[in-house]
Amino acid sequence: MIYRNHNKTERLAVLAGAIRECQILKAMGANQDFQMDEEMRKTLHRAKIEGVKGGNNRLFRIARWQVQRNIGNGLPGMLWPDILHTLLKGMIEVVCGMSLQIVQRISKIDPLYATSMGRVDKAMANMLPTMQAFFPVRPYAFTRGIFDLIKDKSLHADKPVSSFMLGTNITQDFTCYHPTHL
Amino acid sequence: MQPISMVHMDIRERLAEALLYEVDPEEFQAKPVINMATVDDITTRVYTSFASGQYFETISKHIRELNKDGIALCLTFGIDETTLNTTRSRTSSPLIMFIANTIGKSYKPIFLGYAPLKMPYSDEILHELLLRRGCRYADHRDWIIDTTKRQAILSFIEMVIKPLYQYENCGVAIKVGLGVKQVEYTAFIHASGFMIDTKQAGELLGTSHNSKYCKCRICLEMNMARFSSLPAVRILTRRLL
Repeated sequence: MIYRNHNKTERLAVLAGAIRECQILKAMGANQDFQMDEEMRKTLHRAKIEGVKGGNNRLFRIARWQVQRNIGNGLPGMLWPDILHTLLKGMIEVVCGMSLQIVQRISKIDPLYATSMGRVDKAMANMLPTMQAFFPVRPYAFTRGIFDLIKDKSLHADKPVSSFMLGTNITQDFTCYHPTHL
Repeated sequence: MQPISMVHMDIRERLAEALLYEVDPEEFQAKPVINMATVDDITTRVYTSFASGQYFETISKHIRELNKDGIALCLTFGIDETTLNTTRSRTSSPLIMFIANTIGKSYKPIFLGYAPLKMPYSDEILHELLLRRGCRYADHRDWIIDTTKRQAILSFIEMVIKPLYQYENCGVAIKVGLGVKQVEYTAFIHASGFMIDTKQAGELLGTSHNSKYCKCRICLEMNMARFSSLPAVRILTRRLL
């Protein structure tokens, strides 16, 4: 695994910010001597692909004592993984969404399973007491059924979340209540 | 132009209050806790709390070189957007702090202030003002507005944390707990963690997983924390649908 380097990331952010500023000033009529060369283009591209916003980022100063003494990995090492959006709103949501999409499609293809959507909805309606949702997730009653959450339009869109909104609610309910109901 | 308003409390005062009133001395780990376990003839380190980590061990070692009785007081900061009322009509972004040395019930958030979330002018007005100044391109105007907003939040965070920088090298006398259990230390205070979610990381640093390149904020590999875009999931979803 290639970890982000504190000093390199900071330098890249400062450089990219300075180049962008010069570009804007030139477009506004000032700083006419500025010429964009290949090196600057590469720097801007690198900042883009490394996901670094240009400019003087003051967060990098917080970790300077540790960086000077080579303790930890500076600011990138200080950042923690986003467990909520990675697991609950990420992987679990996608798995739940995909499972429901499979049930939905199979019920449309095979008449033998035509009632499967209704059965899942019924199980969900019995499973979710409205006022027992976990804080800070607001209580949500799926009055029109959970399959209403699957939007056909977004099925083909290149979105990070697979066409399944209100994911936190439903995934938390799925994981916290008894999945054996289904 | 109207100024950007923000609210904050003195971090030294909040930290002293928290150490005195909210931290149980028995739940305060001043020295590194090194737990080793042997599983199938392999000896490995067991991580139970922040103090059991290698980071705390290294920083404590450096501090003992400065002062043989000194301890490392590590702080973790967090900022996120949240609602202020039940109807979700008012939102704000509180800045909070945790004392990483604490465990159990003593590990709790300490409120520091509200970062500016709403700016005094809307984007439309700012675009209009920049256009009048000769900034003709929309993407240039977007960059200036985004950068200014970001700098406001970053300046706020730095302004709140800055008073602690003086204790990184010199240390400060702290009291933990009340009554007979009270303990006194010479603490060298350090900011050791920053808890931000994907959205905040995108706004403050640029490491958004929703971008085309979606690099992880900790490493430089692609798609490390974006399960939904794993090729297998994508291909499988498309084939099934």
